[in-house]
Amino acid sequence: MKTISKSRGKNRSAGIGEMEFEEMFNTWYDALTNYLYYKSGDIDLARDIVQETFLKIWEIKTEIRINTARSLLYTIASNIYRNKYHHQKVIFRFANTYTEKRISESPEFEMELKEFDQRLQKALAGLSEKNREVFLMNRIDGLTYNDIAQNLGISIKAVEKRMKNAMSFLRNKIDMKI
Amino acid sequence: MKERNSQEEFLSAEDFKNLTTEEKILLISGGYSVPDKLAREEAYAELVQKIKAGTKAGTVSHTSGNKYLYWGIAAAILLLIGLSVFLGQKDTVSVLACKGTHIEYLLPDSSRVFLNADSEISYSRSDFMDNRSLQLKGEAFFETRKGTNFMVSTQYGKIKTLGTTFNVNSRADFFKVSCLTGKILVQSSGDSLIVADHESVLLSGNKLSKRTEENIEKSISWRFGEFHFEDRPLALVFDEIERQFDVTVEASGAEDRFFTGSFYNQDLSEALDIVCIPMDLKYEIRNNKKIIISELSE
Repeated sequence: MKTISKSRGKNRSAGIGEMEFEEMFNTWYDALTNYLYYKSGDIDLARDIVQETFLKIWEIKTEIRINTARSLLYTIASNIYRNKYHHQKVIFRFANTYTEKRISESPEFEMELKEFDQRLQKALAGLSEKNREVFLMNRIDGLTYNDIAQNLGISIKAVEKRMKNAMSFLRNKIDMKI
Repeated sequence: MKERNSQEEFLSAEDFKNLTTEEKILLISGGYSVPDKLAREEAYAELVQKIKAGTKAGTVSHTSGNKYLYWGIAAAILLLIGLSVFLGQKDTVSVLACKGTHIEYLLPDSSRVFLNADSEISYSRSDFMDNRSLQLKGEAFFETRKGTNFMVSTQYGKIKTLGTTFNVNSRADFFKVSCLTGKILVQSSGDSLIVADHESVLLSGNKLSKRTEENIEKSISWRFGEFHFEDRPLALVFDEIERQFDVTVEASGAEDRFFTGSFYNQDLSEALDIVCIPMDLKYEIRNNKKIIISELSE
């Protein structure tokens, strides 16, 4: 693998090493895989794209700075998804702690929960990708609006708006108003 | 990532019944996890294998000199065409921003125009105070003074206003108007739409489609050196790079792709990295002026 070193602007510290690469992987693997799952509903695809993304980062590791790496990760991943893979129907199969591990209180309640879960997962698949990914990054990964804004390169206000839109869509879908 | 509290897992039927739909959504979705995910260590091992095997042939190769294009506001180039003192004849003023330059210009009525690189406006000097009308090629942000009808004409359409702020982007194969304050009227291909603040219109095919922008300031971030693209045809992204850095880009077969992301006009290589890497492309800079884009696998 050939890399030609070049001089860059004054404030640049050259590239990241193997240790930093591994650390980056450890830090972002989960979040990035989840992000791609929220987009596609396909865990195998998510895994492939994360691999591709990190491979790209590895190829150019001597050229990038660690602090720009974060948004580069998300940009690369989402562009691969957008351009290379056809958008098949999104169907989620989230594992749900509330229906899987609970002590059954009553079969009726269990049914009710299962039904709600199904409707919610279906409604999530119906959300627009933009609103959905933000909503799930907040709810499942527990990311703050600030984190999400930084990862996706959008404003906090934009995150708020997407959360709000996601919520009202989900609410209406579940209450069967739409 | 958040820690899951085992306390949260206990939920009584009574509690659940009393929740609003919204609360139920928040609660249940909070209990979700992504299924069948490969453990991180395994995933990393897999990655290392791929790296060792050199499965991804091809490199990101850069050949470039040391000089970087400096960003600055250059003086406006005013071309006065056809000065005339005869009645009925017009004197046209053209203001041109070259590639790699942005220009701020004050119109006779004190309205302000901010021109992006490789953009030009022209208007009639004697007529302007009576009829605030100008032609635009390229991209500009307008801060128009309240008053009589103000009109911007481009190859794809006209924009009319009484005094508002808006951004017009009229390039080959691309026409987008964003309204920041007030209301404007956009006419194109027989369509006529009123666009209010935080809304934009885009010409796709032969139709104008309007939408609300979450972050309308993004449409004028170019003034601060930031260029954002959402699903933009890659060829048009390269066009913008050409304009901002005053280079030529040769990209054969890079069409049919769409780019979502942002670049800054401070550093050419960084901008090229941001666009090329996600698109699986590599670039070569020759003589600081010419960029050759090719597929990474070539």
